[in-house]
Amino acid sequence: MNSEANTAPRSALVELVLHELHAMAQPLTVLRGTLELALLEAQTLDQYRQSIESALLEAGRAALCLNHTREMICALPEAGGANKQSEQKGN
Amino acid sequence: MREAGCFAEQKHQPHLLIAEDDVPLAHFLKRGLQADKCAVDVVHDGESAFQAAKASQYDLLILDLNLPKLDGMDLLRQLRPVLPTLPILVLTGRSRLEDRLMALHGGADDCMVKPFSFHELTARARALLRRHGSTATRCMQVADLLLDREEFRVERAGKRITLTPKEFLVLECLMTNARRPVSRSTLMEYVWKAPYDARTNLVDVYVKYVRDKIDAGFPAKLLRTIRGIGYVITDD
Repeated sequence: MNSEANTAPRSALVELVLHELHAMAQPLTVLRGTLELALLEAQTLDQYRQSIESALLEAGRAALCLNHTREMICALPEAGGANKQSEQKGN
Repeated sequence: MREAGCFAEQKHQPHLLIAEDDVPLAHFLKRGLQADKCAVDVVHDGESAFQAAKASQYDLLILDLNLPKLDGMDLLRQLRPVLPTLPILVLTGRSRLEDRLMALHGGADDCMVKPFSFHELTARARALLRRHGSTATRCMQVADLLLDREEFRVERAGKRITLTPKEFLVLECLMTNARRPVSRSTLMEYVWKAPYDARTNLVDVYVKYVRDKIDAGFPAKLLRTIRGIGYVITDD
């Protein structure tokens, strides 16, 4: 384990990316659990439909987090994002 | 049906508290655990979790670390001295070993990283309840006051207190209902198996005996009178 990497200060953008990844874990937990319970318990078409609708809702929430994360990563200097450009302008 | 996650083996219906700020996740967990024959309360911030955990005798706290108002780690630190035996299963979005170790060192009994399997959650919860159940039905604790039913033993701050059988029953009745007022008639029926007679002060006399033994010499008075209602054991 690289202890230096773990203790290095993170930029605000990296913190935001990590926050968004944590946020993504919530809908993925519900999505996974909903499907697990559907496989185990759903018997009627209505019950399966209800589970699928819930799963879709959570997939949508996860997708939203994924898009936010993607936008933020694209803005990172290493990805040639806005931060990099503003740095270059400043120089 | 749901053998993998069934709580039917528990002698009584487990009472769970979920502290999770993500509303859809909290509701999903509540629904799933209720279907598993658990009574479930949900709170969405740390302060409410602290108050709820102290006010009711829960069998398990499922605690998300990322809570508003009072962070999950701070909540753990505040809860442990007050409720040292309450099983706490921590949920975290952080997958680093350091974060999981911090939660376990901070007082959690178990830790799960999101996104987790609901089956694994119920299996771990069941294991915690099973381990806790053997001591929970036997021992009760309010602040530093401990009552062990099997050993007929009472301790305050680690110091042994000798009670007569009737005094022990009075305290047992109050601690079974910890933080909830207990009427004189409830005490009368529990201890003397007789209906309450307002003309006698038998209950008050025995409560005084118990109070003198458990509270004398301690700054925090745990046994309190609720005027017009009865008595309560509480550390609020």
